Amino acid sequence: MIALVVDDSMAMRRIQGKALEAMGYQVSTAGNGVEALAVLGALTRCDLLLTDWHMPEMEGIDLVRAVRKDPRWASIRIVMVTSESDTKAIESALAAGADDFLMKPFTADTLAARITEVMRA
Amino acid sequence: MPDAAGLAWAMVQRFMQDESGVTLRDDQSYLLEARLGGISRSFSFPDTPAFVRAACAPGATAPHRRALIDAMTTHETLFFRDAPFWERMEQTVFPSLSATGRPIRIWSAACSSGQEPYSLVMMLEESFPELGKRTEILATDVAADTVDRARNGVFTTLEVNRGLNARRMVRHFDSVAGGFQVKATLRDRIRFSVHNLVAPGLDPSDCDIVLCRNVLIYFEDERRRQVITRLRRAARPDGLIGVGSTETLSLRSLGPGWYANAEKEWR
Repeated sequence: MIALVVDDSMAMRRIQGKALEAMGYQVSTAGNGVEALAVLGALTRCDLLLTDWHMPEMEGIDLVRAVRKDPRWASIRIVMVTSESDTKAIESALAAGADDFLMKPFTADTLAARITEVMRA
Repeated sequence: MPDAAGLAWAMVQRFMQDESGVTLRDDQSYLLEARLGGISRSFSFPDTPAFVRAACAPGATAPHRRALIDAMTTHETLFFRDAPFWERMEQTVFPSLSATGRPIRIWSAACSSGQEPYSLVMMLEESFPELGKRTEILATDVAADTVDRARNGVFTTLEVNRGLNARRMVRHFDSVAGGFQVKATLRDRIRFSVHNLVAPGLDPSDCDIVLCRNVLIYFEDERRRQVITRLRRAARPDGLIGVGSTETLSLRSLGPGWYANAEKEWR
C-alpha cells in the first residue's frame, strides 16, 4: 500500500509517516498542495492521501478538490489531518471529497484506527 | 472538587508525568473517579484519594503502581469501544428489539463520561430511528462529577477523535468552547443519574439491555458476583447483559461481550 503525507510541518510529516510505515505503508511526502500534485503525477499508484489544511502555495482543501477531479485517483482515500476543529470546516472538507477528517491533537493509536476504518469502508 | 480529591489529582498528575511521561491536565480531574474509583474499591481502600496516596508513595507496592498507570493510560473510554460488540448491537440486537414493537429500556450501568450511552443514541438515530423513539436510556455512574460531565456532553478533540469518524462528528456534535458538544436532541434522550453498583440503592428494572462494560474486572470475586446478580435482576428474563470484551460471565454467550440473562434464545 502506498501513502502520500502532505503537511508543511516536517515534524508532522515525520510523525504521520512513521505511523503509516508501522502499518506497512510505503510513504511519500510533500510540503504543500502543489508539491503533492507533482508527487502524485510521478506515482503510478497511491492508496491513501493524508493532508493538512493550511499550507503555503495550495491549501489542503484545494488539493482534495483537485485530486477528486482527476479520474486517475478515483479510488484514493483521503483523510484531512488538521488543526481546524470547527464542524463547519469538517463539513466543507467532506463536501470537497475527503473521506475522513482527523483533528490535531491526536494519538498514534487514533491515527492508525482512523486509517484502518477509512481503508476498510 | 473537595481538597482531598484535588490533592490526589495533583499526585496522579506528577506520578504519571514521572513514571510514564503522560501529561494530565488540571481540567481532566474528572478522570480521578472515572478511572480510579473502581480500582480503589477493588483494593478495598476507603476512597479514591486513599488509593492514590498509597500508589504514589515512595515504596508503593507494584500492583498498586501498576493499576494506577494502567488505568490512566490504557483503559481510556472511547466512542463505540470494541467494534465487534457494536456490530452485534447493530446487526442483531437492535433489529430484534425493533421487531418487538414495544417500549424498550436500556441501562448503561457504568457510563463514565458518557461515551457508551451517546454511542447508543447515535446508532439508534442513524439506523433505527423508530426504535429510538420508544427506547428509554438510563445512564449511571458512581461519581457525581463524572455524571455531570456526561450529562453536559462536551468532549475534547482527543476524545471525539477516538472512535468517531468525521461524518458522525458533524452529524451529532456542535462546536463549543472547550471542544464538541453532543446535540441537545441526543442528550435529551438519556437520563443520567448517580448510582453505586456496590452500595445499597434502587436499581432500574425490566431492562432489555444492561451494559456494564470494563468494570467487573476491578471487583474481587464476591463483589463481582453480587454486582452480576444486581445486573441480572435489573434485566428482563429475556434481556441481554453486555460486558467488556475481556470479561466473561457464566451465562450463555451470544457474541463478543453479549450474554443472555435467561434461557430464552435471542436471535
